[in-house]
Amino acid sequence: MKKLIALLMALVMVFALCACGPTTGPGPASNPGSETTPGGEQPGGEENPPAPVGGTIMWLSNLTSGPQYEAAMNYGQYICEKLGYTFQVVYADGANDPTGNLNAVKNAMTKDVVGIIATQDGGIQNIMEEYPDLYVAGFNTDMAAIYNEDGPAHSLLENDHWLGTIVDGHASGVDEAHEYSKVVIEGGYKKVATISFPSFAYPQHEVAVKVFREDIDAYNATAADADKIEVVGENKVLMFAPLEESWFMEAGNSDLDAIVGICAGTMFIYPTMKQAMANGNCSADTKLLTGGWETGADLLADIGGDGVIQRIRISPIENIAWAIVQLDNAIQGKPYPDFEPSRLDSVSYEIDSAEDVANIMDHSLNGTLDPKYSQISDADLESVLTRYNPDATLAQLNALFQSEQLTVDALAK
Amino acid sequence: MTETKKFDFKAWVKAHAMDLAAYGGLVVCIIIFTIFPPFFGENLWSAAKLSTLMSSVIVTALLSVGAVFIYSMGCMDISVGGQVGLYATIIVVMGNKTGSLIPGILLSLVIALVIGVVNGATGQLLHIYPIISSVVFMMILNGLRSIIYNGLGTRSVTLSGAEYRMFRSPVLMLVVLVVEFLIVSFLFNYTKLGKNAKAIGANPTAAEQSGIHPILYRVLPYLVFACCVVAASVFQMGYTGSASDSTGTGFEMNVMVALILGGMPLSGGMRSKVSKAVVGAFTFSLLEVGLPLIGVPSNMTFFVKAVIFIIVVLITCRKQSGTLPR
Repeated sequence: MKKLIALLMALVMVFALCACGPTTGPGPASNPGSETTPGGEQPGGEENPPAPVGGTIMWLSNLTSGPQYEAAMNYGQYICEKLGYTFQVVYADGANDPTGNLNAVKNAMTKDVVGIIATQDGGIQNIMEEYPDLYVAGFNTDMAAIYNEDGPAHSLLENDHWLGTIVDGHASGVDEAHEYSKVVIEGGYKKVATISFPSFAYPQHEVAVKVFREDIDAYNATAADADKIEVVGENKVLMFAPLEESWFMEAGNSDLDAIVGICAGTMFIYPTMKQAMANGNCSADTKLLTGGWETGADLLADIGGDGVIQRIRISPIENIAWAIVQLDNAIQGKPYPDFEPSRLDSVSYEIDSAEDVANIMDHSLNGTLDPKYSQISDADLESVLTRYNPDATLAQLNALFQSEQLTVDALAK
Repeated sequence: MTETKKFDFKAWVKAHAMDLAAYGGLVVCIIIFTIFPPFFGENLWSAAKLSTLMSSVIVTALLSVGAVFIYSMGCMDISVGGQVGLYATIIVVMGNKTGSLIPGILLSLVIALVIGVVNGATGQLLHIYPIISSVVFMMILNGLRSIIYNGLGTRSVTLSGAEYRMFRSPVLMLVVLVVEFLIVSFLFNYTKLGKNAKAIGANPTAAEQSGIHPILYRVLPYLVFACCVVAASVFQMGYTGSASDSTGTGFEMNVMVALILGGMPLSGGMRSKVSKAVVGAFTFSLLEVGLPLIGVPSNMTFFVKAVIFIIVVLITCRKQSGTLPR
């Protein structure tokens, strides 16, 4: 009996503790004008107060930790607070399983949720079917389930609650391939290999590898013999596990000039590469061209100059504001006159020097995790929010998020 | 003169303390999630939340009820996640090809029964722990799924050739769960099948020496479980009309957690009860659905669930000797 009482008391204590947590329920709308904006003009200053709004914007996140997660959380909370919303994260299924994503949303759903930011497309049609009144926008996802003609959620393009998505990089593997082939050719690399994720999960990677080879073949067709580039062997497909060191022992892989990692190479290639270098299985001169943002001190020190990593491409975390702006316009009932559920490629956030790393770590949202370093100012956001600027257009929003302002080079200025 | 035996409430409570604790965990959850959510503008008893609860609990409950047979023998089957993933995929793919769910369900049932026979028999025949064969099947099934989705060139498949929305009905979920519970309870409590399973879990040597067929009565419980796995797979698939290369991942842990939360002894034996599976599954799902209603953010729910889990385990899973089960 004592144990039963102990159980009851322990549970009461746990739940009492939980009940003291942050309230997600609808409350009086926060007054953006009453808070000081660290980095710029406040949205909706005293002359232009925002309409009273409230509720929760739910972010179905594919990340659960790491610098990009932290930055997105901080920035999402910052903007939502300014606009009078609560920002709540829900963790999507690790493998984009439709049922897992629907369960995550359903279990966390509360009455005050007014919109969803989705970073995965698995089950998106089921989520929107389950909650037909909620607006949904994508962030860091190509939403292939919707935008591919044979996608299971293609019909959502006709759903007026689907607001569009901003992609992590390029929706098309062709554009990504062109970027990599340009870097390889301009970098003077003569012997390269490609590594990607499997096509069943990332169909665009297969396209990117194919187009990259075509680009190199086209270059070789006119290049002098001494300048020709060799793409060694078949593309290596990583099944979401780090590259094995034995790969460097395969023919031609030990003395590559560069590895083109069309995947999150900072996590899946770089550690093995360093280990292989230490063991003498990989040339110390081999460079890595890839994506993915990690902030380990050793890795950061190895970017640019004579470092192993010569180029990292990521998307600015400010992109989450694109989705929040779309949601706010819809929730306010003030859509853009030129609205369409568009899919926007992200601007390229290219890191290729120690100077870039220093600028990012000291002066960017990605590096500091502090919203005051956002490269999109509050005034910029105000200019594309229809609650403040009724004449704002989708074209303006897209132009803002594809502008030079969001590049690494802009940090140097 | 006949002596009237006086009901000893204290002795009864002492004898059933662990059951009471497990049931009490569910009751406490219900009370808390009934009282506190209104302060946050929420209501557990709204139709929407009950529907969410039902859809959250159904797969785990169907699996857990069947798994009672396996756990009662002191065994575990950790291929269950791989099985659910494969069967859901088969049902979707064959549904799209044939326009009906029946062929996929039947094929899944055949595969499930074969796996059940192998899982049940190999332990005794090869003198290995039955969990080992289920580990082998887990690997085979995961590899098979990977090959299938590589071949399909996608990470998920969606059912478009057959109707599946009926499986999203909370009423149907409840009916199927009740029917499965009644059937399994009958088999477990009133037939040789269940009694022998418990006897094997309590003392396999004594069970064998008392005439219980060592292979037959290890295989039959796995066949019952196989039917439950297929039923769960149908609802898993029917929830979104889709399956993916990760469908079913971690379900073996969900089943284990649900059974432990319900007070099921992992060592099996006579204390095994089917009701513990249902209690555990509902407690597990109530925490999933209820914690957000009282303002617990998603990144805190894992922590809170872990705390509750360890409390319940410490109270419900101790043997008379005071030790935790093996």
